[in-house]
Amino acid sequence: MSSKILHQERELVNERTEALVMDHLGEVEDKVLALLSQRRSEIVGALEGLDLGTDSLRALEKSDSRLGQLVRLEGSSGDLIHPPLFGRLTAKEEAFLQRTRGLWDRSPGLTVSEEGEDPQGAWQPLFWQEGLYLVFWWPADDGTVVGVELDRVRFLADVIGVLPASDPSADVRGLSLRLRRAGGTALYSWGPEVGEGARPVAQRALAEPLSSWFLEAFTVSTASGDSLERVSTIQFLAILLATLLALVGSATYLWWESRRRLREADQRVTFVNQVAHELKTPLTNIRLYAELLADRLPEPHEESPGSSAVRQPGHYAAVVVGEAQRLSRLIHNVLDFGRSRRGALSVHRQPGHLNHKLREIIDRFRPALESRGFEVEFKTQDDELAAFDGDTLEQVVGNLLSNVEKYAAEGRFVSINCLREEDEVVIEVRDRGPGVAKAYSEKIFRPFFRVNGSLTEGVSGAGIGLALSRELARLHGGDLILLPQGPGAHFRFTLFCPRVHSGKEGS
Amino acid sequence: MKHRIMQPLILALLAMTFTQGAASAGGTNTGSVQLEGALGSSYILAGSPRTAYLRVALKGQQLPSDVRTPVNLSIVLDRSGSMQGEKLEQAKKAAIMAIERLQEGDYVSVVAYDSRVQVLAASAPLESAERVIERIRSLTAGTNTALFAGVSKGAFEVRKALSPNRVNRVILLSDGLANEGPSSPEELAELGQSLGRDGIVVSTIGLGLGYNEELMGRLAQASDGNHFFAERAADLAGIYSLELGDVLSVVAQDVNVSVKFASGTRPVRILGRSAEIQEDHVEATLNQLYSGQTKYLLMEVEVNPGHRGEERLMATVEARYQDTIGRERGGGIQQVRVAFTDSPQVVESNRDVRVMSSVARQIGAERNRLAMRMRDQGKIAEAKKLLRENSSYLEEKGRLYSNSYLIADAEENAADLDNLDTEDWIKQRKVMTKNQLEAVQSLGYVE
Repeated sequence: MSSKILHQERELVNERTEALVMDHLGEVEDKVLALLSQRRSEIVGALEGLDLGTDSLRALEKSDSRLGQLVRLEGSSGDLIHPPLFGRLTAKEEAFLQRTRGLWDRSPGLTVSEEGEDPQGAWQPLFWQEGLYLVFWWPADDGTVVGVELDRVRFLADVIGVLPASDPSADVRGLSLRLRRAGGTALYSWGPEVGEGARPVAQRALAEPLSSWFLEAFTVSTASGDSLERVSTIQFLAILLATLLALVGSATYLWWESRRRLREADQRVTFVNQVAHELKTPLTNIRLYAELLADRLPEPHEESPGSSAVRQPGHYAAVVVGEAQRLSRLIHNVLDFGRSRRGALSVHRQPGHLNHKLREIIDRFRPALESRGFEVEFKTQDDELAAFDGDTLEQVVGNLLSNVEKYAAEGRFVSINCLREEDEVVIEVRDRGPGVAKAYSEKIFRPFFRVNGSLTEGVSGAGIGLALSRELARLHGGDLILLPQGPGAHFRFTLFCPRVHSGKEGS
Repeated sequence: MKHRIMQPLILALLAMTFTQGAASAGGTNTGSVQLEGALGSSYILAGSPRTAYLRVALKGQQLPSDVRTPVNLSIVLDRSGSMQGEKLEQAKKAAIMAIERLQEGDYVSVVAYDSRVQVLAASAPLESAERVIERIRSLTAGTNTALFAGVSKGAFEVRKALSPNRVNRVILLSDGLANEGPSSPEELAELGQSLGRDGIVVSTIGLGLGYNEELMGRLAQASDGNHFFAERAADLAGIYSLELGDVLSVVAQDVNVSVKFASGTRPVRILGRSAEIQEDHVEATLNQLYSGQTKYLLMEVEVNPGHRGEERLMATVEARYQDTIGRERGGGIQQVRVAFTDSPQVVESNRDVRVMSSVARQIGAERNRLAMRMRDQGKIAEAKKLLRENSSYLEEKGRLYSNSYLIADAEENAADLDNLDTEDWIKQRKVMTKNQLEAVQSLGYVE
């Protein structure tokens, strides 16, 4: 496994992980904001219709344990109405006035406004000593403004109440979250234990008025709770130890390393396999009905592109069928690749006429190739009834033609030649594209390998087509090789394909 | 029904008979609580302004053994690293024993915290204790101490079944210092106060010598809960038993006491609990009243000069509470009157020893607290002197009022004296904090 490929894959995985984690943090943020929104509705409900005299405001403070202090100001001048400065103030009221002095001392006046619909008051965060205080300002009908402060500690306790608890037996690895204040102090954490000094994979400040609170997410990937960074440190130490122990030690380490990476890649392949399996069933239906549709419609004329035949329904149906089959082939590639990893690939021979099958396959590619200006030449000298696996033929020839389409478009020419040599059939696919450099002539058959450069840039493909095709060919008793003759790429696909005599079956 | 009304009425009559003094006649009560306002003495010396002590006592009625208020409880356990081993095992055992005393219809939840919070069993009616007990047994020790989060989650669970007719309680255990999330005594006290206002009482149990008694004490005090010091893990079973005993004997909660002073009388200060003092009235809330136990609000008042033979209304005492047995709002109201005399002997002979014992106890606790602060500041000699004086004061009053509890308190103060040097101070401070809070809750003295 090339470490560069794995690195790229890890980057991709990280990006996706971060997006998913940010989504999750957004959900948590919503919970907290919902709590705040509920308080707001309750406060507005309590204030509407209330006579706003000092006594009833004090009674409201007393009756609701989630509220801290209430204050009432003259809307135009900002003058303080409640608590009455010339009356007897409780210690709580004194403290409140002290920390909000900056607000009501200011002149002229106070306007309460908020972005968005229907401003029925607005939240304001106040910072005093170490705490965040939330005050809700509500404009009364009589031109005064009432400020309602939430009990700071109680609000935090209620937030902790709605956030998830942890479960040490289950939380050994995975996502660990923390709510903290700007400035570092953690307020509440949940999920697996996180090592000291670990860095979050994602961070999100809450929306106003709680923008001084942050949510952080950490990933914990080993049972001991270490972050991914720690794993690298352990690797380094392992290498040091290995070199000290000499060659045998390092060889053992390298072997173990590659096995681990293989396992990781295998896990990803398994996932992809599962997805491909899911896709197979609907695709089978699409192919079936597309082919039935194509049968019912008149055949598109065999004319050059640009003519009106291209716009006929028969042509449309042919395109759908072709694409469905291409999709099908891609999925088979993936599934077969998975099977080849597990050593589970197999070949099922059926008696048939290979040249007919080959013609079918080429005819499916023809519309797409011809619309790109290709001349498609098909010659066959084999006419025998023989035993072969039609799927193998479809996969290999399909992959070769697909490559031609992707990489050899400038040559505008592909020829498929089929001949029989005793019990073997040889199929040669030739194009007039840029060909394959000698240095890569073997590498292209390796899984995931794609030649870097302007040719492959922007062309989709995972690089498993040729690797899989060779494996299938070999399973079929033949091989797939690249011949060195230029110009263009010249592939030779051989299969062991014994003739079937009537009454006898091939092996 | 009829039986329930008869019993308290009879007790009220008896109380009236035994109350001393000519003027301050016995109180009224409905349901499960007996209210009584009494003065240090029903006579005051005439001629110049005087101070007097006024005590508003609330006594929970004795319950027949099969009657009690349903319970809504959250047990919050510390599973931080320092609890590893014997401590956690004992805590688990004690919690299990507590749960075994509950019945169907009670709500219980179990929360465990270290650096994270785990809800071992969410609040649910106790259909089968086994399920909850199993979860407790599976608990193992962890890392840090997110005490604030533990209490928050416990309170959240209790809120699910919060009801004026259930005993709503969080029992918090901790052996260490809060070090995750809000960790200061002030913040925990604020939380306690906020929860207390909703009728959720937090009782705290400090285990070993590593916890912060300031924090645990203030949290309990702010919500009107109990505070315990378990020196060794083996003490936990007994302490949980005491706490459950209180929880299972609540007869009234959400108690509002209001004392309105007639003209000529002014409040000077409150001894013990906190209360709101306005110019002509005092208001206090008490969270829970227990069967057979008396809690009180004690204050010092100033009285305008009267003349011999004069009789005057001093204050009107009112209490409103949720009677959790009768499941209704109850209350009582009583007038407190005083008479004036020239003779100190008359004042003496009309002394109410219960009121005066309470005064001595609270003053003793105040001085003990002051001595503790002095010792915190390093003023060891002054602290010792104050404790010595306090001990003599309590002993003298104990003899005068024939109150053995006061004499026991005197001995405690003498013992505190000997333990002010550094190694012993860590433990002694916890003992003193616990004792001071017991005084505020007027626990331990039986009248």
